[in-house]
Formats: sequence, structure tokens, C-alpha cells
Amino acid sequence: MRGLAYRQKLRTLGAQEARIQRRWPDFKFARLNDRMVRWDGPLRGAQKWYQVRVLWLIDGSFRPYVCLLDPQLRPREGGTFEEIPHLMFDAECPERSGLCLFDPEGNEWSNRMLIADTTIWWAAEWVFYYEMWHLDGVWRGTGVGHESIAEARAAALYRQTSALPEGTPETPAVAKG
Amino acid sequence: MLASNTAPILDDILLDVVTVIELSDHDRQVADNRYGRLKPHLERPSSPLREALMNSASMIYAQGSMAIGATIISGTDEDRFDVDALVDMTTPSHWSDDDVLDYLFDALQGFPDVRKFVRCTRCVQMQFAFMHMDVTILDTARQPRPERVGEIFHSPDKAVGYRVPSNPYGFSSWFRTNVTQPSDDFEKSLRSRRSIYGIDRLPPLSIKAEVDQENLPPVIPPRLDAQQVLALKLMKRFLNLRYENRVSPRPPSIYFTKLAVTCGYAQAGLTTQLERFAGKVKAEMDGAYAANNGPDERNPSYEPDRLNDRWPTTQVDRKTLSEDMDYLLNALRIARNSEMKDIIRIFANLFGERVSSRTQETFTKRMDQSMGRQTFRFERGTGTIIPVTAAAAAVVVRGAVAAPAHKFHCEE
Repeated sequence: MRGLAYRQKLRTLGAQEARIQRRWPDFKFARLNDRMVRWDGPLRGAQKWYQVRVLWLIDGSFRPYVCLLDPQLRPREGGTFEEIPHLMFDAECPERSGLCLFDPEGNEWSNRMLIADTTIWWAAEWVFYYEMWHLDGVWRGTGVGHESIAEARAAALYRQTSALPEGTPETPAVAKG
Repeated sequence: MLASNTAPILDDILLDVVTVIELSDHDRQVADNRYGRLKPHLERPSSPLREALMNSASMIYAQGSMAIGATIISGTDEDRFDVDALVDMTTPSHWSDDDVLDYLFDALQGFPDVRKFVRCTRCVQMQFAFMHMDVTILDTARQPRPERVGEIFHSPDKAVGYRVPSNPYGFSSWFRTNVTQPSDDFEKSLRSRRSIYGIDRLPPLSIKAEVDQENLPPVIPPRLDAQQVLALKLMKRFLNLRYENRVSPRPPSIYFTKLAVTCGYAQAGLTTQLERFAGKVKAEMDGAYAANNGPDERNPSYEPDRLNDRWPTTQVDRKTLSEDMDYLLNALRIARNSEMKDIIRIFANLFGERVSSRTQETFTKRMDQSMGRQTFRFERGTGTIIPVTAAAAAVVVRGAVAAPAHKFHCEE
């Protein structure tokens, strides 16, 4: 019996590492423990170089987690971290929030794909639109669902308050960061 | 193994700057109509030039920036184009060198849409709304005549006039032949960008008034979208702003035009081209400063034609320009590793606030994925987005990579 077609096999750590080294030779690999590895390296969506980190569970049980190391995530002037679009928001350490690079329900990524050919390109694109968002507060990239946690929370609050009787005071959706 | 000197996004934004500062297709049409109207106007029965023009094989054609497709707006507050026309004719021998421009001044009176006529040292300037046209007479001088070689007239108010050997046509031809020609894809891409984002400045009324010119063949040569021409446009814009409030004389555009070619072609794209150009100008200035002499830049098609015959006159002129190039190079160096917000700020400083904000508007519109953009390509090894592959440097395009489609998401 023939094995699964190449594209249907789960990608091993060896395959991921080999591809990243080929595509992104400046990304440095490190094994954190038996389950988790990381790659740190530079990329630029536009002109500025960003040092990014990709965290990966070797068994492929979770999607790669990408965050900015240097420069770190920052809100727009006078804004909040919650307003930054398309994050896997980490309330405890918002500047290390992951970049939410694809629609989990859209079959856009699986552990049969290569990080080097998907996640890292998408991270570059995310950085590009993040810089544009810093220009004028408009996200011009693709997107599905709520754009930011602030927007999601505001929508949830709206749903709640519209169910309440008139005159009930609203609570603020986000605190200033 | 990071890509060394490519800057695809900076190149792309610089192309948007070019689109904002250059003549739109509509403006070229208006300008062309005015060029076309010059000959019949100067040959009308009441024109003092009529007889001389009719008696010789006279021609009227574009010179300077219009002949090489490098015309840009000047000034920070007013979007005005300065263009040049040459009346190539044999002047009667009994005219003095000072008479020539006086006759031209009289002959141009009554030209449609002109708000003001100004007699300058070497030309007569017609001032239209948003456009100045400098008209110069080139006397065919001696015979036999190398193609379109002649003498222009230097006629100051308080000194004796004299003739200056000149061959603008030869220079334009040399320029057009010696720049590295753009690829078809690049030209197409720039044409399409221009047709969507180009800015019309010249009043449409002028076209209506000149509708009778529509069937004439174009007077101004076609555009030349070579990378060196684009860098020249950017350099001219930068210098327009630098010299705007200075008392020191500004170097002639034609001097830069030659260096835009002789600096050579940069494989790595428009940013590198502009840096290479600025480096060349700086080296020329530093060399001339050290020698306290020169530069002496000649027209390659006609050696007696000295391109910078009236500039520089002092060491300060040389030093000032050298420092301007340092400034430009330093700004580009910073922009190469800046985020977009800072790039827009840097460009406001280099090319003007209004130009920079229009550039931002154009760039953000073009990049908007909600308009249904196709999948991006990326620069191999860096991740840099290549918004328009055709407009990117060849070295970047060769390694460009596409990524699978996806949509950004958000979760807590």
C-alpha cells in the first residue's frame, strides 16, 4: 500500500527546519523543550526590518505562533493594544500578542503545510499592513470577522446592552493601554 | 543572506511621488497644443518674425525637460510646469544679438491664454495658468550645419549681448539614446498607474480653445519612462525645494540631466538609482571644490555647447550642492529602514508636504485589499511585499515568491 500523498503527510520538524533554512537562512532555530521549538529571524513587510519569533509545537497540534520581538508591537498614538488589528491577543503581555494570520475556519492552514511557505510570508504581509494602519488607523489588508479585540468587545457589549432595559449605564469597552 | 540594497516598497512609493509631480496625460495634451500653436502664431501676418521664419527652413520644437520627458511641477505652493520651446531659424544678418529677443517678445504678443510675457536674458517667457513656457531662438549660424546645431542669444539688460553655441536637440537625442531603456512591462505598469492616479493641473478650458489643433501630429516627443529619467524627476523636485528660498544661484537642470545618464544604471531599483545619481553629483562637486574649478560639463553631441556655462561661480555654490547631496543620501539611508509613517515624513521633507500627502493617498489606495487585490508576491529572503511586480527592480522580480491566499483573523 502506498503512503499518503506528500502534501497530505504531517510535516515533520526536519521538513519544517530544512525549508526555513532554505527560504529564510537568517532565521535561527532553537529547541526549547521536547515539545516546542522556535525560529527567530528578520523580515520586512515594507522597509523596516522586524525581528520576529515563530513558536511551534513539534507534534503539529497547534498552529505556529508568530510575534514581534523588535521593534515590539505598539498601539497608535493615544490608542490601545486592543485596537491593533488581527492579533491573537495576549491580555497579560499585549506586546507579545501573536499575529492572527489566517482564518482558522477557512481551511487556509494545516499542519501539513510548511511554515516557511505560508506563515512567514503572511507575517511579512501582516507587518506591511500594520505599518499602513499606523499611518491612518485603517486596516487595508484582508480580514474576516472582527478586526480587533476592541471591536469584538465593543460588539459583545453592544449585544449585551441592547438586551438590557433602557437607561442602563454602559461600561467602557477597552481601557487605555 | 539578507538582500543587500533592494528597496521594493521605497521604489514603489517613489514611483507614486513621480506620478504626483509629473505632467498627467491631459496636461501633456494641453502643453502639446500650445507647442503646436507657436509656429502659426509666430508666422501670422503681423508677426515681426514672419518673414525670417518663412524665408528659412524654420522649425519649432520642444527642448529641455519636455524633450526628454522629465517635466515636473515647481514650487511648494503652486503646481506649475516650466517648459521650453526652441524656435530654430536663420536670423537676418542685419539683426543685432539684442534685437532677436525683442522681436520674439513682440511676435509672441497675443498668444492665447497668456497672462504675462517676460523678456529674460536668453528667452521670452509666456506665463499661463499653471505653466510657464520659455521660448528661445536658435540661430542656424554657419553652414554647412550639423543637425540642429546653432547659437542662442544671451542678451542682458545692462551689458552687450553675445551668442552661445548650442545644440539642445542633439543633447536630447543623446540623452534618449543613452539611458537604459525600460522594459515593456515596466512601461505598461507605469502607464496604468499614471492613468488612474495622475493629477491634471492645466485648465481644461485651454484644450477647448485649441480644439483646432487636434489633428496636428504631436510636437512633444513621447514619454520616456526609463529609471534614470524617473530619478532625474525626483532629483529636480528635491532641488526645487532646496533652492526655493536661497539667494545663491541654482545649478541648471541640463547639468543634472547629463549626470542622470553618466552616473549609470542601477540594477537594484529606483531608490538605488537616485542614490547613485546623488553620489555622482556629490563626487563632481567635491572634485570641483578641491580644484576650485569646474565642473565643465559639455554637450556630448556638440562639444562647444557648455551645459553649465553660468554655474557655478563660487566655491559656496559647489559646497552647497555637495551638502544637498549629503542630505538626500542620508534621508534615503534612513528611509530604507523606516516604517511607512516615517517614510512619508521623510518624503514630505524631500519633496514637499503636499506631494507627500498625495503620495500617501495614492499608495494607500493602491494597496487596499478591499478593492480586490490579487495575491501578493514577496521578495525572496526578506519578505518584502512587491506590490507591482513589473515596477520592481529586475533583481527583485527574478526571486519573487507567491504565498497561498489567506485572510487575517482576530481572537483572544
